[in-house]
Amino acid sequence: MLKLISLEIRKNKLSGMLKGSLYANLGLLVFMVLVVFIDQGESDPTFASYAELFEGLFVFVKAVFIIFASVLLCKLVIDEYKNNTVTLLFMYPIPRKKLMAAKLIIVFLFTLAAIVISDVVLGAILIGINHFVNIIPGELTASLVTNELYVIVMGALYAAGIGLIPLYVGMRKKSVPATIVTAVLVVSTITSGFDQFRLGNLAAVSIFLALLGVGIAYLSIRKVETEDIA
Amino acid sequence: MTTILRTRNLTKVYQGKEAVSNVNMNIKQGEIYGFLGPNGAGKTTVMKMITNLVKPTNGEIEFFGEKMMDRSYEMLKRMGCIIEYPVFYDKLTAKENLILHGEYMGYYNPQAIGEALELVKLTGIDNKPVKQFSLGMKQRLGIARAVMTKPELLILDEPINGLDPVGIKEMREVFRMLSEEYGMTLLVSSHILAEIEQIADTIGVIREGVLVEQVAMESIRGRNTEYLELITNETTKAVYVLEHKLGLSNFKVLDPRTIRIYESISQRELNKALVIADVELESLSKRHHSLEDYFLKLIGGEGVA
Repeated sequence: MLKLISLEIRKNKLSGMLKGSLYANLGLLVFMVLVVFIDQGESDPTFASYAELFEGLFVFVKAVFIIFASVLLCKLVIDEYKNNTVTLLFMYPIPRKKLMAAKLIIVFLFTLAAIVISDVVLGAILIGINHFVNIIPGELTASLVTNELYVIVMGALYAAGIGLIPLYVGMRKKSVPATIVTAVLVVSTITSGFDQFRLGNLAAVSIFLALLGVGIAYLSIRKVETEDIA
Repeated sequence: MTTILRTRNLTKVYQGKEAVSNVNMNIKQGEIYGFLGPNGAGKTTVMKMITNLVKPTNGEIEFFGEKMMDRSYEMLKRMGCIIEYPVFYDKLTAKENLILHGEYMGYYNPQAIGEALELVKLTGIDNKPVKQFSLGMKQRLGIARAVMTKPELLILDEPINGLDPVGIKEMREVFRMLSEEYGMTLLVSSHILAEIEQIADTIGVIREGVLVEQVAMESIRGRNTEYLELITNETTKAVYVLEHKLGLSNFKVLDPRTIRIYESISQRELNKALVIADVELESLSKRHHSLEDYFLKLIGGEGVA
């Protein structure tokens, strides 16, 4: 399996995705800093505490990388069908489900890792900046940090699962735009809400969606085994 | 000779329509099997079933005496294929594509890539991504990829599409060499009869999903290929000579001026007899009955170039 994963990475030149995530992170950072600074004088600031700052950050990071995941799905799975290279791939003496699983594992792990790393790095940078400018009031306690780390890891796990949901539409339509649009819809659903309430913050909703994504991945892997490649 | 691949009542139904019906194919080890049929006759579908890409609705495929199932992945190691159109990972170079292929096939021989590229005369393409290749180059690269793992069965779907005349000739030689020197068995499909005719040992003709004929080339070559054609204004006189002086019976008066003689008789003898009988001859020539007539009949004319 590790071998298949490394072949997929080589085949699709996925190292380019790392650069992409770096740019995405820079964009996120600039955006967060702007929000923090622009808000500075107002009576009802967007981020009144560290907890609120982190929550905002985590939501944006998740949204970005769920869409990233759909781009990866397109590269790894949908393009293979669109360019017909799937006829080549499935003529190899390797079970189709393994080939498929390797691809989906890449998407899941990439999303998971990208979210955790981005959350931690961007969070640390924002804390660092705030240390000098002191815009956001409040104390950064050890318990807050451990709590936030827990939130990061759980959130990343959910998001990695949710990131697989667009595969359902992707496999049916074999279309890149449809896959990415689905991802955008999913993101807007989980980030929707009002004021401080967001759908994605309900653990039950997140868990449900994450399991849905994993279920879709499982079914796609199973189905591919007996499917005709026309 | 052992049969390497056998299909029994192979059938594929697409949306209620039989794309392939009850095909019984026998491919013997070491031969070149020409798979002939007009566009859309079901050649590619049969080949996809053989390579396990498409699952048969009915019937079975036996490869080296082993029945092929949904999960018969090991068999695929012994095949090399181009199906439909040679596809590659476009952004990678030819070499990178071949390296990947070796890895996936579990075939590790660093020399194989160079040898395969040399075999199909594809050189000087080192750093170009496959995207920039012409169809002919892709076709060559596809053949290189299929043969680099030295498979026992080579399946080539329309391998000469997009090649220029020189390329076609070169590939023909490559196919023959693979068959003779490496002992590979080839299944080559085409809708161009002349191509198949030149390389195949056995021909299978498919039409609307039905295998209408499967025959060794030897036997059709011997069957009805040569005849003498006589053109004269005095047909009656000529017929008299043929029948009574020469004792021939297997000939046919095609039209008032043309007679075809299918029996074996030397031109000299015939000429002499006719001159003696004072039959005025316009021409006398030896002709080949082209296989084309034979196959056109089978295929039903349309769609064969």
